[in-house]
Amino acid sequence: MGVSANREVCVGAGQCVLAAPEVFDQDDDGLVVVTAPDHPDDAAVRDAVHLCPAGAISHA
Amino acid sequence: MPDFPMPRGTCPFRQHPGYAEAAALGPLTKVSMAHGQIVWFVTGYAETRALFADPRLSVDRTNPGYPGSAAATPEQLEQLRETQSFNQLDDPEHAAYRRLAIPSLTVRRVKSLRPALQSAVDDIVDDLLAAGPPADLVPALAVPLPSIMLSLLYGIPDRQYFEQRVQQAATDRRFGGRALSELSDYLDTLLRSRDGTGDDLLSGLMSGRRADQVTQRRVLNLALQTLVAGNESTLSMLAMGALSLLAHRDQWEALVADPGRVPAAVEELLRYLSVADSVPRVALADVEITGEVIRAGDGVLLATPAANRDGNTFANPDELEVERSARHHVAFGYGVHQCVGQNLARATLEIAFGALVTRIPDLRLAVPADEVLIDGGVGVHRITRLPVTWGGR
Ligand code: HEM
Ligand code: SF4
Repeated sequence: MGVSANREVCVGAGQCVLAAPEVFDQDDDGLVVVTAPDHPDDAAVRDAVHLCPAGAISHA
Repeated sequence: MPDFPMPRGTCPFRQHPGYAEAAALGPLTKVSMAHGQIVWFVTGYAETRALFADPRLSVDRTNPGYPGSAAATPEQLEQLRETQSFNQLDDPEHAAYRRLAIPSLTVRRVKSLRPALQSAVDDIVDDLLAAGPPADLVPALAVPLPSIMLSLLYGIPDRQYFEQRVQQAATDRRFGGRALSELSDYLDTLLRSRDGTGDDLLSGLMSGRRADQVTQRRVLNLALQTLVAGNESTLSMLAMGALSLLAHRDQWEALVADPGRVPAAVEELLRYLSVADSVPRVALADVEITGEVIRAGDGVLLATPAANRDGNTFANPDELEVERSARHHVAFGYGVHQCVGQNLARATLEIAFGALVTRIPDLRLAVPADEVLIDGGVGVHRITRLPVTWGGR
């Protein structure tokens, strides 16, 4: 359960941070980190999943 | 079969008439290019997004079948292969370079550049107001601001030298090429002086260079390519974006009434204008999509202006509606090559349009919109002048 992100495929576009800043951040390497994995499946997280250009984010 | 490139038409707002005709033939159709080359022309939103994200499509123009490469000689291709920048390389090589660039372009890093961008825009508007109407927003705003944006991103010490040449590279048909080669020498020297510890783009690149992950030549190409990619597209968005807002007065007034809508308006302008135009790829394997098969070796053009006006995805696609939610547009592409500078571009456009609507709310075009000529040709499209006025005149 929860939000997860695959840093291997992340391309650092930051779409997730813009869509759901309370759930995602980019670290010093510019790659995605999930700051709130238990965030409820709200519209912002679904936006991030949809907008991520690399298919790096999932929500199960 | 339609020809490509298609005549653009002179209206800056209407989609190329040829793109709409091609879109009417289906989400994928074929067009004929120079030297008898026939390539796929993709106009559907879903198809464009899927193909941008498909690793079987290559950005490497030395692969046979790449759009526009039909007449290239083997020697030319060999030379290209050596000088290609990361945006023209496929993964995994592309990713190694891209990862050097992204730390200096994250949402957070761009946020830290905002105050400097804001003060540059404030100065530009101060100068406009001090000089009084009329003014031309292309030389006053659209040309200088991208060069300042790049100065900040690169951490440039001799800003005047650099910005002057960046502006020349985008505007001067005769000496633009020379300006770029001067910039190349300048950046080469500057790169060699960075120890890789700063948070500007050049330092980020050198951290990889020191770790020997990459070559000096490719790092320099990355810096140069990023400069060109960011310069022309941002210039075009500033000029065409201001023109679009001013020519659709109700949309301008909506932003004047609530400048908080500017970020959404920027997304809508990106969709509406799609300044990057058609993005080329070549298939490395057969790809089945929407009942068609793109064969290995087929060239593909992803027509972002058409995809961003796909009526199945965007209601009233030909209308500029700053209040719509357009964030899923493909104006920055999609997939692993999606614009690495998009957050910096967003910040720059937001600050510029935000300053105009708050500080010169009665800004208006000084000539009819259709007299502002479009610079023809393929590639990033743009206008060369934007006469405006305000106040009583
Ligand atoms: C304002 C508007 C801009 C637009 C519409 C735009 C559009 C695009 C598009 C469509 C792509 C994808 C190309 C492809 O898939 O082959 C792209 C990639 C790229 N853009 Fe932008 N761009 C803009 C601003 C910028 C800025 C400000 C920078 C840098 C400072 C920049 C640097 C790049 C680079 C380096 C790539 C290649 C990324 C890669 O291959 O991984 N762009 N841009
Ligand atoms: S949107 Fe996707 S690719 Fe971009 S930073 Fe987030 S996870 Fe990475």
